[in-house]
Amino acid sequence: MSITQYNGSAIVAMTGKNCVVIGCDKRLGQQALTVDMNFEKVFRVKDKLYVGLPGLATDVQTLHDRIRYRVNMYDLEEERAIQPDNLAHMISNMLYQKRFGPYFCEPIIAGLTEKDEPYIMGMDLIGCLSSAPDFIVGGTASDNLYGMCEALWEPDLGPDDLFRSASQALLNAVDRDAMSGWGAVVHVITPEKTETYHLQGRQD
Amino acid sequence: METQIGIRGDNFVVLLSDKIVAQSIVKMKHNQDKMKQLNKNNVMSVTGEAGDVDSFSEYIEANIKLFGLRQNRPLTTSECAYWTRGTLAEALRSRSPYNVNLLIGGFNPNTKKSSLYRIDYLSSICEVPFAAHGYTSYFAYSLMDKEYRKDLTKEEAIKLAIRCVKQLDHRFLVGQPGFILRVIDEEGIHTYDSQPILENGQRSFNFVNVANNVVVSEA
Amino acid sequence: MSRRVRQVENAIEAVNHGSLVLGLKCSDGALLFAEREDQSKLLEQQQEKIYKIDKHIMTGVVGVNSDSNTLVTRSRHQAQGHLKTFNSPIETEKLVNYVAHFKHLYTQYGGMRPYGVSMLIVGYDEATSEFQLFRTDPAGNYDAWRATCIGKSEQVKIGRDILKTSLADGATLDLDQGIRAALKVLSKIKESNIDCADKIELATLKVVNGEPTIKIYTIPEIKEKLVENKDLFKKDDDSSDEDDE
Repeated sequence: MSITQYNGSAIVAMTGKNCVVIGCDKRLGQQALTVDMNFEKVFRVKDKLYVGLPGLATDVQTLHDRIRYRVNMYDLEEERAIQPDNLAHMISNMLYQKRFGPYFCEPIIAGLTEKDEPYIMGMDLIGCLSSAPDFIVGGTASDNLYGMCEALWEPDLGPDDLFRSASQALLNAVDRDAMSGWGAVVHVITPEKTETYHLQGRQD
Repeated sequence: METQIGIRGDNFVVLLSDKIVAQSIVKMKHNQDKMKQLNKNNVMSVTGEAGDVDSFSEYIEANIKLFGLRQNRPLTTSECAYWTRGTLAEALRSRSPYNVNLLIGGFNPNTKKSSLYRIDYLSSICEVPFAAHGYTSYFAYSLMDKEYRKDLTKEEAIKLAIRCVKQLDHRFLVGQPGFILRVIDEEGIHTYDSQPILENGQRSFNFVNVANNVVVSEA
Repeated sequence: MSRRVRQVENAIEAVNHGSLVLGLKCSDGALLFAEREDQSKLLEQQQEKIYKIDKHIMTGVVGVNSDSNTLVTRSRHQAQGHLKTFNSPIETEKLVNYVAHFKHLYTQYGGMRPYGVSMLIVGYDEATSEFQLFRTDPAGNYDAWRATCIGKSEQVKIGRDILKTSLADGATLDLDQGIRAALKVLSKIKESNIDCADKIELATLKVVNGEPTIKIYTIPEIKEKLVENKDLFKKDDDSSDEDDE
């Protein structure tokens, strides 16, 4: 078993028409033992910009702390809101700095650009960026998520339909993964507002 | 092999740990207190590798006291927990990581709420209603899952801890004979020591408040 | 042997020739008000007196600009470092203590020049739900105030007098009254007319929906405030006590 699978996680980001969705499961485990059922792995960076951190929980938390530090400093020094692609490169750079002793985490960025265009980006644990026009998945349930997303994603979905597709993909993917689950959180990002939904899911 | 349990109520936290110091198959000490009082309202219980436990917990204890002196205000439970996590996380990626598992419980006199943090040796932190570490977790979690309620009273929480300990004694191959239990609430920190009793030929435990000899038993 | 540290005295003297910064704790928040240095008409407009340090702390600086830039950046890093290690926002006094300590270091050794900066630091502390106003000087002293100003000595005197009368007998102002008091100081310290919006800076710190919020006023917003209080700037305004409501 890889150390990235020690705590268990599932994250999905999907693009729609002028909107994006990013969601994660809530489990924190130690191998097969569940320790916390309220452990969120998607974090708000700014309005309309979220980052999902699947992987080893300790690195998820360290990375989140460091991203928050850097983004707050960016805010103060640059006096403008950080853009999704800036954030992606910032995190990628942060990860590559630890090239030979990496954080065991493969971040996923989801947000809307200045022009309210959807933006999603994934990367590996040493910061190699990979973009996709449709969806990006990560975590122990990523294989399941690929299948679900491949089946449910359609181009130009509105926020409601996109929320439905992403939620179904997430819930059904974690149901077949022992390492993730215990409900889910989904953030629906539209130009006007960001809505956060807590999904019940199977509690076993 | 060590036992460590934490249960959070609305305005109190119960922490319990065993008292054994073991080396290989030998018990070297039977009365070791594995908890550190970080300040007036916060307690940390530590298990793990023998040398690491001492040096790490002493370092944390001293520093948290220092922070309290520097800023005329004791650190809150959350601040204690997150600072400890940061220290452990930094060590994890250094040449000398600490192999320790922690529970940090405390009461916040400002908000009148209690909180319990669980930190493992990889330094992932989570705020939870109840927690355990090591082999104990395989026995205690199922019991706490079944019996835990948000509105647990102090006595009920202690009784729940006793049930966990009794279960360990009954089913766990290397269960321990004695425990220390602490309750952290608005008044401060209360310490209880365990007292083995026989109940229909089976061993159970009472907990005696060391300050006033008040006994809490499961029955 | 003289016990005076000439370098520090010079730095303090430099501050005593800088342009005014005023800080005031109000019932519903706190504010910083500053007058910009006289500058060339060719210079681009820029923020140079009031800076945000974190979501809940801001500062107004007087003295050597390059020195204050360093201190502001240091403070911001300190605030973020605290958030990272404790997962809680830094307390105002802790930050002030850090800045003062840092300044003090530079008064201790040969071959170093002290920071020629005094700062007013305004913050909100979650633990106590209170607003704070601190002042630090180049020597590394710091103290807490209800209201004060730093800068040119004669202006500071006028400013403190006005603040003292506004806050006499433990009176408290709300933010609007506070802004009015600040503008009153402005109207007294020089022959300012009402078209000086581009020569001043104004920022408030309030709690909005439980979150400390810093608002740095833009020039049009400052203009609006000036117009609201235009009676302060009347030329025939001799009886200074009348406009105190």
